[in-house]
Amino acid sequence: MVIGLVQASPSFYGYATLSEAQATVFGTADVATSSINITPTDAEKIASTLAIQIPTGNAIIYTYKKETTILGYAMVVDELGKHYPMTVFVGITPEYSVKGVVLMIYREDYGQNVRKRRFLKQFLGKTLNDPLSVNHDITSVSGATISSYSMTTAVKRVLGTLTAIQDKLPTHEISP
Amino acid sequence: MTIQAATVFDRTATATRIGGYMDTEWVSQGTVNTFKAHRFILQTGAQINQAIRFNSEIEFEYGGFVTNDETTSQKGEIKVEQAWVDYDASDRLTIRTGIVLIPVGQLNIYHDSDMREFTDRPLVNKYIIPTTWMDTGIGGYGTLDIGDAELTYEGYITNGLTSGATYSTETGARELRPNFKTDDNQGKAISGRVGYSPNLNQVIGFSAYRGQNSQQIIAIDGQVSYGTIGIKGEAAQYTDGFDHDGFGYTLESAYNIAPLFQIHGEWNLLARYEYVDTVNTDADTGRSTRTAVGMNYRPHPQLVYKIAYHFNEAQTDDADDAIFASVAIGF
Repeated sequence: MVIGLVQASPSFYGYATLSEAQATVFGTADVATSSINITPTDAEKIASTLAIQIPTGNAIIYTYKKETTILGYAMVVDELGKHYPMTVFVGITPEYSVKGVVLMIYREDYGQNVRKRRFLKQFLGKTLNDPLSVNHDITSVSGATISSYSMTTAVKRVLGTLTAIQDKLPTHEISP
Repeated sequence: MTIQAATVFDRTATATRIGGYMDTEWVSQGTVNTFKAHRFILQTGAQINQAIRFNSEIEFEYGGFVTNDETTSQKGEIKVEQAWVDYDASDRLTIRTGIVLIPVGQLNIYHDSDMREFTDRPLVNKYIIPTTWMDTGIGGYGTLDIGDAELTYEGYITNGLTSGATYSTETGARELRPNFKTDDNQGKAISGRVGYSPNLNQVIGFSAYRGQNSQQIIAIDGQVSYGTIGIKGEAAQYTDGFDHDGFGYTLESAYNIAPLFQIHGEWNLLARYEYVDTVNTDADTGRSTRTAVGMNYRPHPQLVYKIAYHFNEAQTDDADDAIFASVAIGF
């Protein structure tokens, strides 16, 4: 998974660092970073259920804990917009529902309104049992239609990936 | 804001971009049965820094075949539709200067072929709000967030439409669109729109234009969308000091039936009603109505296949019913 953490540049809008995104979704939880291998079998599982292709190889997974209790997991993905990718943080609960979404970096000239709560709150609580589809259960932002689709795909991608590799994720109640 | 790690991509590649949209139409109306290479629009833009942006659109209509022969049916057009610079003066105000889209109604702003559900634009957006309507000037826009609600505002001072003396029953305000070289009537115009969106599903806007000789267009627009259904409409009235008075409105709906059948993409059932009266009297002169039913298919958000049947009731020779079909892509 490409993580688009970049230096300040004239040509993009940086809305949140990784730390800020994590704090927005998981508060003051402790975070552990791990690299988990996504196999062709994992990728095929995601492709067949969500019609989303993901690259195989190592992916950075963030696990959030309070003492020994797992609060959730997260990934940062670069999802292609109309011309350029946008960097999105997606956090999920241990029950594999969306806990929070943060737009970290936006590289188009217009359409940044997908960063607002009025759009992002639509994803809260969503699972893979939900359509996660614009003009179905997701309303797009006027003037940011393509970005709305891209954000939706980013959420679906992270949900699908973490669900597909759930056997490899740290489980609830880690022993001290 | 400094964010860790660096890529060449973010330093250089995102500074300038090229994009646009294109549509190809098929029209069947009366004895006319033809494909049309209607629009090819190239957009170029650049982000100078986080507060300064440039954007432009150049349009080639019907292959851009430019000729002085007014009698030919092959005549196309090449024109600059937009060319402006944005400067973020503050969080609440961006100053825009150049050839700008006039913020009257919503369709004039969001007119791209791949964004619209139907092929043909509504009658009110042809004869009352002369879409695509752009002018040269300066102004600004911004958004005020009130919780999850949004208040948007946009306004400009421009050269203005040409004199209302050339408004006609046949073409309404359509031929009044200005050139980009000189102010024909040496009098400036103001235009603006205020929009309120209490949530993501609803928006209402009020807009107005005021030019020389009491020339005025006022408009209201609105949109609601819930799940698979979207409804939107616009209404506008034109008046001027030459006693011209035109009125029109449109209401359209789109219903995405793809979830019902669990099929890929979006399949929208469409319906639209349009009314325009370029004379706005009790007489039938200048009055046209049109009801359209159709559907479109979006296999991808940037690609749409459209077809619709238009039931025409017009007070002109162009009153035949018509089929409009098209393919449009944004890139």
